[in-house]
Parts: sequence; C-alpha cells; structure tokens
Amino acid sequence: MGSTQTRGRLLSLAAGVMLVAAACGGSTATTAPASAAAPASAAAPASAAAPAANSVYTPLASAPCDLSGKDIYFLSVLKAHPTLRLWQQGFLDEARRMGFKTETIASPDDADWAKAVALGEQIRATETAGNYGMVFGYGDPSEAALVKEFGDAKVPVIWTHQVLTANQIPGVLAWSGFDPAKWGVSAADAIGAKINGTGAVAITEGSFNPTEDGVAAAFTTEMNAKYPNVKVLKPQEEGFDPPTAIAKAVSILQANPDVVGALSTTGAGPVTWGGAADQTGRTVYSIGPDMTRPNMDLVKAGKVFALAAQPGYEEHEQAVDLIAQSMCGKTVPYANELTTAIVQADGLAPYYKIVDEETPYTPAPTPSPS
Amino acid sequence: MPLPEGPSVAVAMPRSRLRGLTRRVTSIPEITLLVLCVIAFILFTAANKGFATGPNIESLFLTIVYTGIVAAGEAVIMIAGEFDLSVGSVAGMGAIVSGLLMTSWGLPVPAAIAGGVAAGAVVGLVNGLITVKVGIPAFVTTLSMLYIAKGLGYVMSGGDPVYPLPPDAGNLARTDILGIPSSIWVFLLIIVVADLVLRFSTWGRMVYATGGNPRTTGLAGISTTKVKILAFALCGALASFGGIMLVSRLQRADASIGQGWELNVITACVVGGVALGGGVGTIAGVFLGLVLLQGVQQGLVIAGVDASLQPVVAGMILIGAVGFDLYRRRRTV
Repeated sequence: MGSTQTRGRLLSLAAGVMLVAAACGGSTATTAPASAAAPASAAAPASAAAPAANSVYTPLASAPCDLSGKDIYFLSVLKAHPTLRLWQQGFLDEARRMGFKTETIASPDDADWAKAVALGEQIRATETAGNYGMVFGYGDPSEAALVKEFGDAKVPVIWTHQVLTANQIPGVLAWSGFDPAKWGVSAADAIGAKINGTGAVAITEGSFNPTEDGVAAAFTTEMNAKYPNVKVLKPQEEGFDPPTAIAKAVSILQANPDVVGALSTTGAGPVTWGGAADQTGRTVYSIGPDMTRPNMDLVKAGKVFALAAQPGYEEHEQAVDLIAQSMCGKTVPYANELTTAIVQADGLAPYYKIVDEETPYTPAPTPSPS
Repeated sequence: MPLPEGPSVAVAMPRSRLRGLTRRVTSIPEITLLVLCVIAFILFTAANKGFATGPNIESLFLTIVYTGIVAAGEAVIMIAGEFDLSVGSVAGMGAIVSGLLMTSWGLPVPAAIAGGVAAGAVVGLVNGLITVKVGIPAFVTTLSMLYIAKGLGYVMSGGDPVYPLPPDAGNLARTDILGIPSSIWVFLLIIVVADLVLRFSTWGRMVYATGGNPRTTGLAGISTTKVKILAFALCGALASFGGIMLVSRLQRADASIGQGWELNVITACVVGGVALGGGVGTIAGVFLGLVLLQGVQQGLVIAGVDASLQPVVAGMILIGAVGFDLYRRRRTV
C-alpha cells in the first residue's frame, strides 16, 4: 500500500515536472532590448500577384523607411537544428541590415509546435500591434489560430518554407519560400535516372508534417509516373536523433534488399543515409536537403548522391524584406517563390563559398598521435 | 501423514527438483527480459529474415551504445534512490566541451575526452551536493540542471556545430576490433564493469542499501550522503562520456546531442527492472531493457508495420513487458 502511494506520488510529481518542463521548454534570444513604445501602424495589404520563381534572391538595397523603432520576430521550432540555424542566420543578417530595433529568435529546442504557439502568445501579449512583424519558420497548421490573431491585429505575418494557396492560413500577409513538391520531383528524376529506372527507393522524413509530406508525395508521384519499374516504399519517420535515425535506415535496407536509392526530406537525412550505407556496405543513391558543411562533405566523399539546395537562407532574407516593405506602407505580393536545385559533387563549390562566408572555416588542428 | 510409497517417491523427487530449478530460474531478475528479447527476436525474424542479419544487429548495438552508457549511470543513481533528469543535456554539454578542447584549444584527443568527462563529473557533483547537502529534491535540481547544461552548451559553441574535428577524434568509436566497432566494445566493457561493481563490490552493496533503506543504512554507519554524491558524479561523468562517444562516431559536436535522452534512458532503466523507489535493479537488466526497446523499434520497421502505427505497437509491447515482469516478480515473492 505504502509502495503504491509512493509510486502514485512519484507519478504525480513526474507529471507536474513534465508540465513545468513543457512550460519552460521554449526560449527566446533577443539581440537588443524590446520596446513597446513605438507608434502603431497597420500593415500594408498583399497583392494577389502570380508566383514567380527566382533562382537567386536579391535582397533590398536598403530599408524602405526608418525601421529603427520596429521589432521583428522569427517564430519556429528546433532551435539548434543545423537547417534552422541557417534560416535564423538569413533572418538575423537581413533584419540587422534593414535596421530593425530588435530581431528575436523565438523557438523551442524540439519539434513541439505547442511550445512555439505559447511563445507566439507571449510576443502578442507583450508587443504593440504596428510595432512589430512576425516570420513563421517551419510552420504547422496548429499555429493557424495564432496566425489569425496576429492578422486580425494587423501584424504583418510572413509564412516561410511552404507554398500557401490564397487564404489557406487566414492572417498570413505573404509567403516566402519554394515549392517543396518541385524539389521532390527533381529528386525523383535524378535518382530514377541514376538507378536506371529499376530497384526500390526508400523515403524518410524527420517528422510527419505538411512540408515533408508534400515532398515525399511529389517524389512518389513523379517516380511512379516516370519510372514505373521502381518500387517506392512508404515514408518512415527517422526523427532527429542521429543514431536512432541511422538504425531505422539500416532496418529499411535490411528489410528491403532491393533498395538502391533513398530520399530524406530532412536536413539530417544525408547523415542518416550516408551512415546506413556505410553500416550495411550497400550502395544507396540518396538525396536530402540542405547545403550545410557536413552534408556537403558527405556528397564530396561519395557517401551521398546529391543535395537539394533549398534556399533556406534566402527565403528568410526575403521574409524580412517583405515585412520591412509592409511596415513602410508598401504593398507586397502574396506569393514569393524561390527555386531549389539538385546539386551533385561537381556543383558544390559555390555553396561551400556561401557557407565559408557565413561561418568562417577553421581547419582542424594537426591530428594528435594516438 | 504417511509418505508415498514405491515408485511414486522416485517420481516425486525429480518433480520437486524440477520445481526448485524452475523457481530458481524464474527468480533471476533479468529472466523475463531475456525471454522477451528471445521471443521478439524470433517473431521479428519470422516476419522478415532481414532482422537477424549482421548489419541490423550491429546497428541495434550502435544505437544503444550512447544512451546505454548514460543509462548505466542513471541506473546507479536510481538504485541509490535518486533521479537525474539532466543526463541528456550533460551529454550535449560534454560533447561540446570535448569538441572545443580538441579544436579551439588544440588539445590531444585523449586529453579532450578526459576534459569532457571531467566536466560531466563536475556537473554531477553539483547535482549531488545540491540534492543531498542542500536538500532540494533531485527532480527539481536535475531539471534545473537540464536547462543550465543545455544553455552552457549553446553558450560555449555559439549554437554552431563544432566541425570539423581532428581525424583521430573518430578513433574512440570507429576503430574496428575483430570486425566490430570499438564503440560497442567500450559500451560492453562499461556495462560489465558497472554490473560487477554493483553486484560484488562493497560500494555497490552500499548503493543498494542506500536506495533500499537509507535510514537503516545510515544507522549501520554507512554515509548515504557520500554514496549518493558519488553516484551523482559518476552519473554525470558517464552521461558526458555517452555524448562524447557520439561525437566520435559523427565526427561533429553540437549542442543538440543528447536531446530527449533522459526519457529514453529512464524508460530503459524502468523496463530493465530498476525500481523507481530505489534499492532494486541491475545493470544487466538495463542492458536487456535497452536491447528490447531498440529491438522492438527496428523490428517494427523490418516487419513492415505502418509508420504511424509503430509508436502505438511499441507502447503496447512495453506495457506488456513491464506488466509481465511485475507478475513474475509477485509470483516469485
């Protein structure tokens, strides 16, 4: 009896701790103190211009007006994920260049959008409408109600990394990004050609969400249409812990001896499939997103076939520019599409240059004798 | 009551021996898990021969190496009657410390690894001192430390991965010994040593006594305070070492290493038979718990269970495993 009571108390305490952890899990990083004193001004409306794909985004030459009294926020999840770090960098660099008073990253460490919503509510409660703009990075439908609240308050909201149809998420002023379905199609074409239209291809996603599901669906449809002899396996969730993700990919390979290609829709995917191919000794032509240095090194070493050069940095530069223009009273287009290239080893040089400029490359010290 | 006569006596003896043998076997704490692991192995192999292949088994062990090292430390602290929720963050912090020591500071890799482990031990020591000496419950102390260690990892690395590392940073985890990666050998060594220490050493018995009945143990002249503080320090050191092992495998250190490990580690301990109240459990049981948890996850993929259903099935299997073990223990008692 006593043991049962003790266990019950422990479980209650654990539940309480989990609640506290959930409440404390998110965090914000502000680069300058926030102020709610600036005058409010309504965001300018978006025009219904047709999407125009730009392979390279050219940021605004200068701020359209004085933004030194305005704040800007990047609300997202997975704060430390290498891909999200690149997006944050694009946001921060452009926000500083535009001269915002503060630029803030608000993001929980994990892929928990409930925590992101809580952070968004905190921003809404502490800021003054007209004084700030919101960038929703890696957004989720569960944030729709929050976005509407911002929209109703005339706060300019830019949704990134996902193509939206008109009024798909009420409250969004404009979207900045690329059509994930298009790079899914390009990846299917590249892998299908490489494996000569035979064998099986696996798909893994970081988590099941609209963006990654869209890439996987487009990849499957294209592969089925263009290479009908290729068997496309149903997507599996690889998660965000590298050893677990690699183990799952190994299991997929062992269960399906005919797998010769793989698509991962998450930035850690190249590490996952490169590691799984290493462990099984199999040749797997894999493609995953994001031009991070570790990913590019895997392509260079021949462990990964190619990378999808998602313009993550640029789409967040563009998101900041859209908010800047809107806050300066200009009309911005609703759809702002960029394109994604599939890059193999021979095309990496320009991307290494970008990464070197963002985070200067420090050569590793001479190996120590061991 | 008259004794049975003739042949019936001859028959009764082996039966009682058999019963005794069965009772002895079923009283082995890890037997349920071992049986469940064997059943899972047979079922998943029957579903798809790919499960029983070398690469899949190697992959299973390569996956549990990191959380397994951390779980060994967590098991010690749980048996001593406490809890450590900061192990995942300490793993990430240790990874960053070690990575920075071998890059920014240019220290030799072994020294950098030692530095990372020492940092973890210090964090564990602080956890122990605050919990035992100050009297703040371990839940609160280690939950706070979870955020502190995570934050320190970000501060030290600036949020960026420590990459590239010196080529010999991979030696700890990637060296091939008898066809098996060194990380698995290191992990098995830690598990065996920790199990033997807990079972047979004086300190190990003090850990069980401290967790089982701290008051009586104290009256017997054993300093439960010292036992617990040392257990916390050991837990921190092993957590950090787990993170460093992953750094060695990935050849990259970043602050996101270890995120969520605390839950996996505590789950493995509980499934492995470590009592939440302390005083009960073995490292061998935790090892089998890790194997069962990861085996089920990989088995469900190989068996072709729908991705959305996998967590549901895994959860049901876990409840079944723990329930079955509980039933066996009650019957044995």
